[in-house]
Amino acid sequence: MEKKSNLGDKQFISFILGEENFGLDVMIVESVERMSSITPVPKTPNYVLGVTNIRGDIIPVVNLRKRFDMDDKEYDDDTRIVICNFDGYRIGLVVDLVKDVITVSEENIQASEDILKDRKNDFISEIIDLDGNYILALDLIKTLDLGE
Amino acid sequence: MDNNRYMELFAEESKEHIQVLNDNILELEVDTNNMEAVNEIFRAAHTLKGMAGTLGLNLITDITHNMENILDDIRNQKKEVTSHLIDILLECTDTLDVLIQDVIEFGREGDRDVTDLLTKLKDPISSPIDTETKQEYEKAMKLDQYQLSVIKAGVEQGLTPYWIEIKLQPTCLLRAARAYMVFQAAESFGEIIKSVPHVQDIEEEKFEDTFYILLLAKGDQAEIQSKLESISEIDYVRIKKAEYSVEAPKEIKDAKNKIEEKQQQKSDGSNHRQVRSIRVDIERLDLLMNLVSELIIIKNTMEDLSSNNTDAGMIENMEYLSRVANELHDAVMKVRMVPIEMVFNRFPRVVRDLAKNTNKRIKLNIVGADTEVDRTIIDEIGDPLIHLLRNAIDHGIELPEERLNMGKEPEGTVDLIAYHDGNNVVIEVRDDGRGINYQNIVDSAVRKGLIAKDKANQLDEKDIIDLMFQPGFSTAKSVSDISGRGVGMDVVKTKIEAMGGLIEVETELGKGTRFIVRLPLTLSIIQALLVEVSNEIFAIPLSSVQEIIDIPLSQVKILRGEEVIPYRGSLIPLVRLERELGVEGDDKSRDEVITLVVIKKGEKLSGLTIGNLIGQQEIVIKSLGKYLSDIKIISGATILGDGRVALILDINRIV
Repeated sequence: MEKKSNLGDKQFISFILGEENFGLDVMIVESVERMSSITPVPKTPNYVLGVTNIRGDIIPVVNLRKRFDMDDKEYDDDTRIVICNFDGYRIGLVVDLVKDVITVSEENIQASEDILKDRKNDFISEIIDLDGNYILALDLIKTLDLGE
Repeated sequence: MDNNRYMELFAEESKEHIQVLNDNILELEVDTNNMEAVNEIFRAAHTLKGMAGTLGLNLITDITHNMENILDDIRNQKKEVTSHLIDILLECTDTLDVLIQDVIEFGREGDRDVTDLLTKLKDPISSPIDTETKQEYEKAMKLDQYQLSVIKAGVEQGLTPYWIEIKLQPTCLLRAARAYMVFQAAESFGEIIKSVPHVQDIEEEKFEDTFYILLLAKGDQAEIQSKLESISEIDYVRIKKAEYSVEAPKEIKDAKNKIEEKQQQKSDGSNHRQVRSIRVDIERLDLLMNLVSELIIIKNTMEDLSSNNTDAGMIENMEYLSRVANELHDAVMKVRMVPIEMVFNRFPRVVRDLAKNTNKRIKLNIVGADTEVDRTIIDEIGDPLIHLLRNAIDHGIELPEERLNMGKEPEGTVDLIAYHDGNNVVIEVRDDGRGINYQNIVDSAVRKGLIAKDKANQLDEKDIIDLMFQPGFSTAKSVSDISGRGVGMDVVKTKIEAMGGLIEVETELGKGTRFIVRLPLTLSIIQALLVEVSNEIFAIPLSSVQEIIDIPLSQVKILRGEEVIPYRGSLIPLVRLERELGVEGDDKSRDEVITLVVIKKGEKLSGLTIGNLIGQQEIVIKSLGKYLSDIKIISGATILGDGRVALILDINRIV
């Protein structure tokens, strides 16, 4: 799918968690890593898996399945840690599979609050229409409860 | 040099000049005859003026220029050093500091109003010595013994000393050049004994438009007058015959000699102290330290990998690598070490201001300012120490009358002492004030609901001191400007503990209080004990480990539901690490013998149960990052030889 890149275009990393497609703004994604050994950290919420060593840096890792109350899944060859860097946080998110980097134009992005009304869906900031496939863009501040 | 580069240089250097200003103004306050201090202040102001001028920073240029004028007057004894004058100079320094901050942050001066200050600055000079009378001249231009003897000899040879006042036209552009011509012309009549301002300053145009020379001349007054007036751009020339009693007053002579001696000593000293050094951006040092950290991690990995290797060459070289890595670490650490003076040197000023505000008389003794600590500590320790000093002055030291009534010196003493103690650096803040009244603390804590009233009576001294460090605790009856805002000792304690340090308090009612801050020498690489608890490895800083012991399970006693163990003749609490960490331990309770790490926290000892002991290792401390920053019992993490992450236990929070 070739698309010309315009000023209004945004890029997302799309990934899969269970049955659903999610997206993260490429601007906050630092890298995508293979699963590696994770040291659990006591006294943290159950969805915080612990910390891992990414090339000498200590990065906290969050299990998004647990966060979204989905069933656990064994890590496999497709499991990835998406390292995000935003607002001074560096956090890794465990996802089932990283698909692609997608470029979407503005008219295909809708604010989620106009569509999903349930409070439990607050952490979704935008819904991206990718030729009829819908991708849920995450608001990490809300996803990870970082608001004061 | 382009402007940006110059701006950087300005940012780097101006701080130092501000410090020099502060230091020397305070010195001048103590000894108003200290000409070396005046010169230092002058030099600093002058350099600032020069840099600011180049960058087009007009406010700074203005202030420093006017400071120079005042200082010049002091140098030439046209003005006396009064406490008012010191205040003005300090105010200038503060204003300059603020302006410089603005420049560093925004690249330009903010539009602050400094007219008040400038008027104050100009006021003392707007009333220059009335130059009309001979007495005033002389007062302004005290001569030293040598000059007087020259005059005496001159008079004996039939020469006449003249005071000549020369005023240049305000429009004159090359004042120094004009002055030079005047000097040339004057010298054709005889010898110039003295000039006000000093010749050097005149050469550097450090004068408004009037200067004076004392000329020992042969010839007629009118002749000199006409010769000098023939120089262009001169407003007027006034000549008076000077009369000197040849014996100079003794005290002036002595004072002068003393100053000269001092200057002599100073310059001698500085010659010896000349150290060869270069300026290095702190970021480069941090990078270097990070690289060394990486190297040590890799070294640990290599040691792990080669531990099963029996090849002699491998073992030998591994040891060599290990030694070099450790030495490199030491060397880099030394580079990062700076004298704690960097923090201490702003305290005399702080203490002075506090003393003034509280109407107390305070002497600050600084000992061990050359004690070296890691840069990271320098950056962090300033605020807690200021708070302790404020505390000592505000709550500790009494008012002078009060002290006299108690039979103490009216002047209170605050000691700030730094020294090395093993792998720690210790900083003490002592005052000889009223000491801490335990009852007041308890009452205040009860009032604020920090403890229940019925419990209050059971507290021992240590508990009471601990209360003082509780958030929201402040004993000051009224909220003062200085301390007692409720953000108090708890912040100090938190900050010091965050650096891996400890704070202790010793106090005696009526005699004084002593705060003892103990900090690790460095914050980034430490020796640690690695232990295993339920299959995870944790690191315990070796500095808090007293001993590792095995004790039979039967020795664990339960007192009022709490586990205790006998240790060297006394009982210490037993802390189950698995429980503290909230992890299920591998059921070790059936074991006959348990391994304990005896932890010391200040004077207090506790026994910490661990699963297995792994060993001692040098570890590189890494932060857990913002996301996990509020986990109290973990102070950081480190990377093990096999690449896994081990958490570092914050012992202060656990026991």
